[in-house]
Amino acid sequence: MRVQQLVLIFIVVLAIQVFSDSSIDDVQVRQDLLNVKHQTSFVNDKVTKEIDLSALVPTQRIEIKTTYKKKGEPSSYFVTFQKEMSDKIAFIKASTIDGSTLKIVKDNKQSINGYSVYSINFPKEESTKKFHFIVELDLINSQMPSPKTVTQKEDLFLVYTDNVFFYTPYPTKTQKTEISFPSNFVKSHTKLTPTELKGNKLVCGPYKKINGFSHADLKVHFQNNQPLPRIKSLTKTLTVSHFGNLFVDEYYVISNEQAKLVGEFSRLDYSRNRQLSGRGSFQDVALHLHEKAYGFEYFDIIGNISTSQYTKTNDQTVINLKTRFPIFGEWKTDFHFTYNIPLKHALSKSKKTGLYRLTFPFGSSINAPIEDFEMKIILPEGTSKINAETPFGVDSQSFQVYNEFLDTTGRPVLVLEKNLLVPRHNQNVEIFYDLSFKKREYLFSSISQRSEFQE
Amino acid sequence: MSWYPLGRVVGGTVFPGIMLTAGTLYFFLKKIVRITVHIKHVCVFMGPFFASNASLITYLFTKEVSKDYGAGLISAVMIAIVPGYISRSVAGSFDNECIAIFALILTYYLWLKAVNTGSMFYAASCALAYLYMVSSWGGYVFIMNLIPLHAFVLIIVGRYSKRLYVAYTTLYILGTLLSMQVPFVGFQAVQSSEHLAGMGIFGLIQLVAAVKYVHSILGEKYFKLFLKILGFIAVSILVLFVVIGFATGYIAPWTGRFLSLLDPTYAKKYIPIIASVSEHQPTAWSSYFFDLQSLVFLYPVGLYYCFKNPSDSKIFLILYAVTSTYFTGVMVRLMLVLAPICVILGSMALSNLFKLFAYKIREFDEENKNKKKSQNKNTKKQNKKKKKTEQNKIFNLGYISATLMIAVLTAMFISYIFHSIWVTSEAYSSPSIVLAAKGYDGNRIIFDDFREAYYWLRQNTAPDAKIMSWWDYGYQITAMANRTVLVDNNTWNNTHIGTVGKAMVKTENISAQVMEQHDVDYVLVLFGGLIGYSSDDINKYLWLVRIGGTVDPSIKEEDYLNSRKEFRVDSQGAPTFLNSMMYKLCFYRFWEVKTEGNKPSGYDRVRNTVMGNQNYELEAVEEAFTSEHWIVRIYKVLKKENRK
Repeated sequence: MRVQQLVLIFIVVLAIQVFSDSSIDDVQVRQDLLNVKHQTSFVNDKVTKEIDLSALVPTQRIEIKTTYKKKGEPSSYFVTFQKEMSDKIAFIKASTIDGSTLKIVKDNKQSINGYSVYSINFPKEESTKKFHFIVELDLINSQMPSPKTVTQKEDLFLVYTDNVFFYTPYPTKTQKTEISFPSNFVKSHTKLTPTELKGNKLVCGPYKKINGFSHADLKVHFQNNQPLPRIKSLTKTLTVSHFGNLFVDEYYVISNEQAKLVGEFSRLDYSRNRQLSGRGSFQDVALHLHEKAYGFEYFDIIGNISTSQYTKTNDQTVINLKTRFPIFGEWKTDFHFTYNIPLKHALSKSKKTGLYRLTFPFGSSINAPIEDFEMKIILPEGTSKINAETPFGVDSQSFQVYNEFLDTTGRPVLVLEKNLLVPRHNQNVEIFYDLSFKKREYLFSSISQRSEFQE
Repeated sequence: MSWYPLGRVVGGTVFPGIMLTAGTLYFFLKKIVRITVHIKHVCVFMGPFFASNASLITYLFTKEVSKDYGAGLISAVMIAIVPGYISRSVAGSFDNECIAIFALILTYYLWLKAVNTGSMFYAASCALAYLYMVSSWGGYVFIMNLIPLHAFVLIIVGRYSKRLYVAYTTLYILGTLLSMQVPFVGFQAVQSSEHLAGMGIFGLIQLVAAVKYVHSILGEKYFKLFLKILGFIAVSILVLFVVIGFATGYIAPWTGRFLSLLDPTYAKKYIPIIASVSEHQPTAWSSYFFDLQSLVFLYPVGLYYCFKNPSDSKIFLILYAVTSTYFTGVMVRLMLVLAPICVILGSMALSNLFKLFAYKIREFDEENKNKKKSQNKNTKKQNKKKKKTEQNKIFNLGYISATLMIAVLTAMFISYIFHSIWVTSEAYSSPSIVLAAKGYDGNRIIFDDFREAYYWLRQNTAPDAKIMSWWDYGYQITAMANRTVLVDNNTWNNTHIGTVGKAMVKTENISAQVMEQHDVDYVLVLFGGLIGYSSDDINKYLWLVRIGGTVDPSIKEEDYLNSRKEFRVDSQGAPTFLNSMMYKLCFYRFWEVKTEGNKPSGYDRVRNTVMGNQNYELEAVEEAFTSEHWIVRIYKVLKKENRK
């Protein structure tokens, strides 16, 4: 028994030695990263890392069972990510096994040299030293097409790279990694024993007794013939008119992250069999809007795009758009989509403070990741005390002045910017503002619902 | 950029009027009135806006000529909806003509005003209006010839007056100087033959004025001798000038478009590029009725009234009507110039006829009233009853015919309105860039292929990609696809267009060479065979051959026709055609498509026949994009090393 265990540990250590890119710099960084106190304070009993590559946005679900090894209240639990990973994290969330949210904060002080450190604080009332919780990640830019170019009739493959192990500062007793693929066809995958491919699932592990900061390259090459729509940029402009209307203009630049189409694009083949000759391409885009949205317009710089339809359900309006042409890998297109919402469904006034509160979803109405997002809120002339509350941090927040129709001093515009968004960011933001001098809102602003003019 | 690799001096090759007007309107709305508009919307509504201005001016014009408010009002109504003009003034037709017709009528109105009053103010205003016209449309040449013609005819028929002298000299000098300020015109205004008539009449009118003056000083006896000597000198000087002018090349010969006006067959013989435009074809008789409807019958009536009671301005109307009728016979596009004069004459006719018959009815009514009065007086005198009934019968006949005529005229007028509305909605309102058809179930099917393909070019080709296509689509590609084209609708260089024609009609090898020389990245062709869109490149093919023939004499039209002199796309077509680049691009892999149920695959729905040359491979190019209904096909030109 003991010999077997020893051999196993030896193998694991050897594997780590082989697979990890442990340069001196790295070690230095690791030491800088966390002091020994933190390293030893927790021991992970069981870690299960589930990577889901079947959806549009790759996600990771890391289930952690851990024990606090010191006396007294546990300090923060640190979750760390390597350089390669930290750039790919678009969204992070932590919750206990029974579903209650845990606060997870990026520790900017300790996040150095590209490494990122997040700290989780457990609720104080828990006297137990054992914790069981889940960290969820939404990834962006994590899978790359390989080969990078394909012809119209070829299958499409993606490569996903990661660390087999959960990159944690604490020693781990046992860990398992599961990867699910969109199809059964996996060209190649990492073979760190024990690894087994069952259908569209790759199971690595369980591995026993892993040191802190362990790394073993994970590389999977798998077939994914699904399109990967990506919103290159989205500018969402809200025009608030206190005559009762909210005008929304969404300007999308949308592309496909699949392998670039080279050679012939044959319309004949495409129209004959879209499954075979339109692999990885898309033409249909669905927008999910507020249930009371009305007055839709779908156009680009050369005029209206005549292919769209909408359905209304009880809680939302679904718009099905067709882009002008099918979007193959690395093709792109852009368009505007505009609509109105009666202001009463988005605006409320607090009796206590006398402030208005505008509630509107952040992010896109399309289910796709976004690279650059900008949200502009044009408020009525004379608005003051503008303040935005977002459920997550934004990259920048600034003010502009917008002039239209008979404006004199101009309307204040609140600009919120954030890069790398995933659909999970589509949460409401709240904008508070004061508008005491109603007189200043001119008659003409009611017409401003059609402010599609951009110069 | 356009006209790669030559480039084009925009200022020297376009009329700036429409851009200036749109820019001014935009500036006025945006900066002065502070209304939020986009320049795009200003452009879209330029047509209707200037049509409404034209309507006002037509009212003034007709009133000035006929001294009749009624005729003026009718003309304003009629020009507002005349199909011949509405084709150029619907929303979105941002074209030179949309402001030019307004400028044309304005110039003529001010000219007549100047002739009728002898006022230098009106003549100077006329010169300004003329400047506006010159800056907006090449059709200004029509003014510069019609006004001298009018002056000439007035002199000939002995209607010379000091009013005419003042009006003409002021207009000619100011107008010519002003028109020279437009870069596109420049010194053409005094050098080119098209403008010579104006100068000649200017000289003549000086002569006539001088003669009149001398006549008033000399007696009859010496005057005749003087006239003989003067005449001899004048003619010899004129001949000398013309000979020297042409010999030194100082006076440019007539341009092709102008010559083809005088000689309808000229263009077909010598300048295929002018003849290839469908708007430059002679007008079919049906299109007169289509564009003018009842005005076709009314305007000769108006002419009759002009002849019956001539005046300086009515003579002008006659000249305008006669010349423009001739010109429309030559070129269908000039229907635009005919429409206003038809409206003016037609409304004069309508107004006069209405008045004529309305007076008849009124006369009868008054007589009737008088009779009733006398009847009341003489009720007791019943012995005269018989005579009265007889009289009533005769009057009733006149009454009925007058009422009938009014009814007919009203019906004519109403039918004109209905016709105009119908034509506008059916023929002139649909954007030609989006095609629509009705499906079997009555649903509207939209073919948005052009914009689909242009937008694809805009989004998914390199920003500096050079696109070769036939010149018809040049402007569209420049604006919608935002890409560089070799040739476009500003057909200022015929050899470059000819080169493109050559690249399209020659074999793939030669075509590849031409494309390589011109740095072409993509070729764009139009093909309507799949859905039956008839104005595609195959139907324009022979024009490509003719125009291409002007740069390469080895391209001969006969080679593209089969032994029976037919142009066919099926297996009986000429082999030169079936192996040409354009054929290969249009029909590539079309032989695999089944277009109609009971027909073999590769059945062309425009030419109604099965394509001839099948199963070929393309070597120099590869298909880059084809729109949903195959109307636009774009091919990527392969670099030499990448070819198969």
